[in-house]
Amino acid sequence: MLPFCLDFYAAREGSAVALMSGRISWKRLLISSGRRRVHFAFAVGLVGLFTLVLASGETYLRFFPPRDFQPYLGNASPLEGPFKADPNFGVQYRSYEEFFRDNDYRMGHYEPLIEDESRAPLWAFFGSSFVHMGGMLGDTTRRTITDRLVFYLGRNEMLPVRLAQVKVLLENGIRPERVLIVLIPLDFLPFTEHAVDQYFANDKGALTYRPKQPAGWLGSILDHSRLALIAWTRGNRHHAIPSFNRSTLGSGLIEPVLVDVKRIFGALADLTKSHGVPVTVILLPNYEHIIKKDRRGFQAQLTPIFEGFGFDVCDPSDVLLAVPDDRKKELFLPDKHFTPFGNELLLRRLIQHLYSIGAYPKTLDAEGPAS
Amino acid sequence: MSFENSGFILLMLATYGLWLLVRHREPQAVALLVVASLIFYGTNHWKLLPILTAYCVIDWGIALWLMVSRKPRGVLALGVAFNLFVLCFYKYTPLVVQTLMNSLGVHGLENYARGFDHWAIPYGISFYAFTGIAYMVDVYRKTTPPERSFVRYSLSAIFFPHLVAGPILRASEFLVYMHSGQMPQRGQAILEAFWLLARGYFKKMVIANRLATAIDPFFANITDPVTDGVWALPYVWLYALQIYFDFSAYTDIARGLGLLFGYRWPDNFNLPYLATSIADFWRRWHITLSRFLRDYLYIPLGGNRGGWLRTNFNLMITMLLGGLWHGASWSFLLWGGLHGLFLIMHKTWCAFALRDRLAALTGFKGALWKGFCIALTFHCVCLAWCFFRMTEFNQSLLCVRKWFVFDSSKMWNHAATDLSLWVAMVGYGSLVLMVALLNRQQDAIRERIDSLRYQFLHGAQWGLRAAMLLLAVLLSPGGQAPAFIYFQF
Repeated sequence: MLPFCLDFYAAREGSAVALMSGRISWKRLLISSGRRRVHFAFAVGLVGLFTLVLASGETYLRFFPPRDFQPYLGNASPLEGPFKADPNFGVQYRSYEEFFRDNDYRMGHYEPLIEDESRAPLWAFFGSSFVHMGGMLGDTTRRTITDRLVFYLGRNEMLPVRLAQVKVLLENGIRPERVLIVLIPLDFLPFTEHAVDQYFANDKGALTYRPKQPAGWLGSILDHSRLALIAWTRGNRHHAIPSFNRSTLGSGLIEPVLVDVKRIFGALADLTKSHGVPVTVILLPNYEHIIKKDRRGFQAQLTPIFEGFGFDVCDPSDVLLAVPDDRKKELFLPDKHFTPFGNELLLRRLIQHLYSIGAYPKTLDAEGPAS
Repeated sequence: MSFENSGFILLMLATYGLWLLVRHREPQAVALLVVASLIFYGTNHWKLLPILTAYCVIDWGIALWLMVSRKPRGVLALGVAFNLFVLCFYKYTPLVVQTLMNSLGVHGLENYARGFDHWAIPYGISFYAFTGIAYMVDVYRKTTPPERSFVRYSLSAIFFPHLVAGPILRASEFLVYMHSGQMPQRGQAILEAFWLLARGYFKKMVIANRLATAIDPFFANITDPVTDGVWALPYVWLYALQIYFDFSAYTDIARGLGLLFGYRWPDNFNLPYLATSIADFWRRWHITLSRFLRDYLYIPLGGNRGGWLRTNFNLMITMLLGGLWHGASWSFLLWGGLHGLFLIMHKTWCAFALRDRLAALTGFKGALWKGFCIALTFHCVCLAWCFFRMTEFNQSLLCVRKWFVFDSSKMWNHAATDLSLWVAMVGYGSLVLMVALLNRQQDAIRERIDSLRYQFLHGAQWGLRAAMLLLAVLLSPGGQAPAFIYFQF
């Protein structure tokens, strides 16, 4: 700012050359005229307070970093959690006890069931709010399929964390008859923000992310200034794919995301095979697929990949697309989750699928629940 | 399009740039601002643009008709009825239909009712409907002359800074400056305008949005077991602060933009949470709505000219309608009713001699009494906010219950006690207080210091504004920013 002002005045007075050649000193240029001094005082005031206020911002971020910024501070983050690093899923629970504490509300209910040797077969669902939220697939299944215990944790986690939950549960005796992983296109959005390689479990066990940042002087500024780092994150420059258009998710995943998907689901396949637990992946269509009849590139792309890992894949789109157009809106709530009607159709399709592969002994008849 | 969208910033910069070029040619300047306002409104909902236009045509026409009609009262009634009918149709149809269906036990119309899921209420309809009513009533009362030019009147009604959430302006505050030859041709108090903009953007993007991020999950899950045992009161305090910062930010930005185009509009807030009574609160909160309700509803109803019963009835009706004005939900009606009740209680309390004796206390005792009054008023307002924030009556009651029933081990360990939030608010408050004190001393400072130091201070003021605008962007929470709360009204 200051050099700019000096240049401006020097140029205006035709003395830039004189200044640069040393015939006029900077000091003389500044104090030779009262008007210049006034402008100089203005510039000093402007730059001074501008810097002071930004310094206050830097101090604030250093001592009281806001919650949404804390995940980018690595070991300096005050966040705490139950995680440790994992080469496949990015993070892993440090222990079953930590996992239990993190999910104590639900696990408190489930644990006696899990430990009961004579309990009914258990279906373990892992998914987003489309499974967990009240009235969604988890609830609908539990209410309808009474000859199976239906397990779901009731809180939304990122996909790698959900798979880490599968791992910690399998390794600690959950013994499910089947693991059911429910996926929607939006589940893959976090991979465009943070690749699995960017995941970092800090020394307090919190899941944080290494922001993608350049090398050189800019990287050095980002390392040393939190204000610069927050500017970097506000501009989404820290994302794995900074300019990703989320509306394209439904039509298929791009290559860098697929690399992560193959990595974590490959690890899941090894894990579930070693425990002898079959996996069904349910690829839910989203609102656009059904209402706007968008091409279902997401399902077409992921089905062969998951089948290649030995997973059973269920695509319930057909039953939702078969709903007459004038009733399709009845499938969705205003927030684009499925209505009870939509969830009932999804469950029927899932049960029909499980029946067709011999994983469940009956289908749901049109009149009512299976049992 | 909202004030913090990049689209709005671009529209504003383009409009302001063009206005600087054409501001000396009134017809072009008027046309430019009308077009910019229509674009601003249309980008929210192009299909609802005809409603805005209809309001302009009808209100302008009615005002002219009032001047020539032999039965002006009937003409005014027609104009007010139009404004209220359209407002009520868009705002209250879903509520009325669903209430009727529920109360009459009508079944089988669920599909019809679901159509209301996508019911669009025109942005800011409550504000421009009230502005139109105020204009017509003022013309009827002959306190303002009607504007002959349709385009100029339209500009006064739909000028984008105040269109969506006020302030609700009187003709004497804005329309008179639209008359031919009286339009401002340069901005006013540019430094003050930028202070209002910087302050407004900081309040909205940093404080209100951060507060929303912290408290929304609690209110969204108030009936969920995850909030069992959580102390609700800090969340309600923060909601009270959120709605204040959010709405006053909008007003600051609107007033700042107005100043850039040469118009000075009244403020909507005057430290409302330092009010010592509910009556005082309504003199400090949403001031332009309060005075609208007073001048165009309470006083025409009879005001305090009747007896105790009639006065309190008028007060209650005014507050109930004021509550319903905010939105189509019984909870807003209840919110207005609670404020009406508090006002009646305050009025009754004012009749006691003890109140005068307590108010006359000075020194430490006086400060203690004043502090008690402020705290009591604030918590009465917070109680009413519980009904404003929730859409379901049961949720509101549950929220109030959680003021008193909670798990003491979770008392200070949740999102509402996030230190970074409180530090941001205290920091902002200190800065604004410092600036206010400096502004108050501005003339004295100017006399005492030489021009060099004065220029230094002048530069520092610009530096403060620039840094605050930059910090507003940097310190705002990431992700989808919540819209201004009052945009929905």
